[in-house]
Amino acid sequence: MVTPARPADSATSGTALSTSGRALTAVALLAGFYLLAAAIVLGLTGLDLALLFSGTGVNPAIAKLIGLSLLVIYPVLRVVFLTRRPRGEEPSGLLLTREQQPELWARIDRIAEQTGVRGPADLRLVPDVNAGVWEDTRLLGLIPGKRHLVVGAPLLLGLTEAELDSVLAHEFGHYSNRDVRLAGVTMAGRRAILHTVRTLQEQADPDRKQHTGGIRKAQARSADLAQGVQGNLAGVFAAYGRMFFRVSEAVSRRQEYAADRTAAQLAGRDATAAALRRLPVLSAAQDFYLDCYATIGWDAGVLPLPGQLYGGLAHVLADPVRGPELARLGRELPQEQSDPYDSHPPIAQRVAAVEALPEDGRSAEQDGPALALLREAERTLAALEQATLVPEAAAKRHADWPELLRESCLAGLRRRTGPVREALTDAGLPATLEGLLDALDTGRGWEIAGRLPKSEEAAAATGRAAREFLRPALHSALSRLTVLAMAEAELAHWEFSWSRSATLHLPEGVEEGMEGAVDAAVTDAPDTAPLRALAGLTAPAR
Amino acid sequence: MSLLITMVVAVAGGWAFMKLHSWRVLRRAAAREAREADELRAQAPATIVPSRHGLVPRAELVLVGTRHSPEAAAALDAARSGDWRPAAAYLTASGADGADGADADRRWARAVPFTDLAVEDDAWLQAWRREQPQNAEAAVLHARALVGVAWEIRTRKRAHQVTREQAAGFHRVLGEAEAAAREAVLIAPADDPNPWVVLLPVARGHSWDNDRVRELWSEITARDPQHWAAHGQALQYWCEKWHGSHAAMHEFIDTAIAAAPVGSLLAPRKLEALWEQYAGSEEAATAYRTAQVSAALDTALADLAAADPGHPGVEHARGWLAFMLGENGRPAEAVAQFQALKHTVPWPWADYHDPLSAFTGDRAAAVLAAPDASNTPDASDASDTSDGQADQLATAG
Repeated sequence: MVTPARPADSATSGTALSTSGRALTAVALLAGFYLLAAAIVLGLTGLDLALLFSGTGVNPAIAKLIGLSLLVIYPVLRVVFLTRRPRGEEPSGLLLTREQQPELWARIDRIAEQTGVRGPADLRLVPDVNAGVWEDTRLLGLIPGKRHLVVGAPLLLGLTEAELDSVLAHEFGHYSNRDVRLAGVTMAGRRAILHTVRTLQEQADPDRKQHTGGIRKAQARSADLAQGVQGNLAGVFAAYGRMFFRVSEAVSRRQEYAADRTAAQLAGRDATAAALRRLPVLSAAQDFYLDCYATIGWDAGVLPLPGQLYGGLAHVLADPVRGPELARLGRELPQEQSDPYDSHPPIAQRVAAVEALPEDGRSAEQDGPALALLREAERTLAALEQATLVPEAAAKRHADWPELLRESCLAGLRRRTGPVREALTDAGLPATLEGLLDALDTGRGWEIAGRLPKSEEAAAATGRAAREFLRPALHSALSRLTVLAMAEAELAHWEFSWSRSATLHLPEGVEEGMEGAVDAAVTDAPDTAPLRALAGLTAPAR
Repeated sequence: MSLLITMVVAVAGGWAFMKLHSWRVLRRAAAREAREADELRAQAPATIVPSRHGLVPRAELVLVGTRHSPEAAAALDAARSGDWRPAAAYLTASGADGADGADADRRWARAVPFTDLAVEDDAWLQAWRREQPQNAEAAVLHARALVGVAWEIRTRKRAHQVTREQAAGFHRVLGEAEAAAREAVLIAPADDPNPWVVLLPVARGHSWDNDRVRELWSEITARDPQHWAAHGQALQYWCEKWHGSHAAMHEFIDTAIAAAPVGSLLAPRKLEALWEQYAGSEEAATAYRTAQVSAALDTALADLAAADPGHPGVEHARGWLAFMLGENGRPAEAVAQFQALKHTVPWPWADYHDPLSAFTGDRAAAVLAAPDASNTPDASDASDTSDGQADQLATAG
């Protein structure tokens, strides 16, 4: 069994005794959960058999009753016992050997030693804002096994060495507090019950989530009935689950606080608080960076240069505009209400607990970023890309940031001009700016506009109102085709920046005149000459 | 544990039985309702034969604004086929026929069907304007048609039901309407209020503040203090659902009525204001029976009696009088207005989902409630209500 330890969590123990007392209760409750499910299945099956062999033969009433009991038995069997529950995620990422990364390993070994726990057998670099220790245990976590450490590349990019120490010490701290053994059972129980309740709820309420077929197809006619039964079943298990979570929550939260204290002892109070504040910031920065930079060229078939896909986050963190914005985010931790199913206390509470510890004379300042621990960082991050990206990524080409931006913006423009180019083609015209301008000049503008996708209201309108619905669509189609034509001719370009979103630059004079020129071209008496002049096109001979 | 199992099974089984049972009950109830509906249908509805009461038969009724004088109809037909000249002649000739204060109002009213046509298709109007760019009637018509197009895009729905796309188009075209109205102000004679009146719906749609509208209003009233159409537009601006309140609306119309000579037909606008205040509310039925409404009705009746029969607001006034007299418990007087309306179905019914049924229903109710009617439905003679000869009492307006 794999026991995941989540990024940097914490809970402190009250006394070890009460913690393991609660953990033992959790084990008992987990066993009870399976017993409850088994009892329902076996009890109903027995009842059915009794009915069948009661000698009255199979009459419709009995058939109905049996059918009904099957409606109960089937989901319980399927959901509780038969489906493969999502386990802790299979370790993915890039394996880093001691030979490849002696400095990083030395650091890890030192932390393990200082926390007094057995160090990991292997180390993997992953792309997420995450760090954790996994252990291959058996018998619900009671028999120990090999330990695995994963470290997220964003932590190396965004934490100092002391902050990284703190995160590692937290993770090892779970093992030094000796609470992980039974906590493993607790976690397994949480997952099993959560899975059961959520699956039954989804089946009872298909609106909540598109259902995944199977059961419901067979029961299409009695769908209402089945939903009612499963809703009630979910209710039974949910009630049980609530009891279980109340017991186990205190356990896991104490563990998190205890691990935080271990981290503070080892890496310093201030570095631990700083790391805790930094983690949500890194998470937000990473999401933002991946969405707005790293993957913008994905659909266009372009990726950043090797090593930059994950490594580019450093540019965002170091940017003079965005860096301070992100730092501000870290000072104002959200007082979020924690997910009742989450084993971690809200991060603001953990920071407060750490900052309440006595001054230890160690300042969080200024050792360098943890990336210095990584040998051949660029090459290693490039290898991480290969280890983690889906196979289709291999077919994409790599480009530097400005070119990546250009390619993705061009692809975006091509996609958004798709409808108008299709409309032009369907009308037998060339799918270009010139094609649309010619259409406008020959009075076919509204015909083209009419072929563009439109809203219900636009489709229902008649007369001039209908035309007014089409006019903005025609306007933006013409604007986009103009920019596309200029960008393809390298007259227009997008300015790349780490500080702000991309800016489109049109040639001198075009920027100011374009709106008016497009306006003139989509009036009821179109005049395309100004736009042709701006775009460097000549009017056709008429 | 076995207790739990028993409970689960019992609950599930009981629930399934209840479900089957309630299906059966429901089916029985549906059958009974259908039977009762058949019985109801078999009973003769309360109907009247309109011709016996001096009323136009349903089949001959037309919505207000859909029947035109032969001259106007010919000009509209010509415009539809692209010839703007008959329309231009019809609309500009009207400048000479009034010469009194109602002149601007008459020109405004004559242009209404041409505005509607230009909202649908304005090729003829564009041709006219190219030929006569300084023609004031054409310039005002162009601005009015743009207002109409804007509202076509928006539809008459409440603001929260208007989509973002509709709102954007509405404001854009309304902006064009404002520019066209301001151009018309420059083209039209300085004393012509009509280009200014076009700005009233612009002010409403673009949410001008009250002071700005008061300024606009002074431009209009300086040119024509009793402009009847302008008062209708301004009343809308001041009502609660747009940019005023019940109090502001009543203050506006009361002030206007007090300042106007009798015969201006502004007094019936008070009935509109009362309707704006109470329509759809639970207190409507009692509110329409108050002394305040009775007094407003008396003033409106006197105003109508003194008005020029050719005033463009006469049908509108009769419609509101017919409606509100009925609501006020004066059915005989309401019937008199219904009779005078002849074939026209005016406001407020023109705005109903099914104007004709609502109109004939209210008309029948007034006839049946009037003391000089026999008070018995003309059912025996109304053997066939489908030929449009009989009015059936509507159950809902």
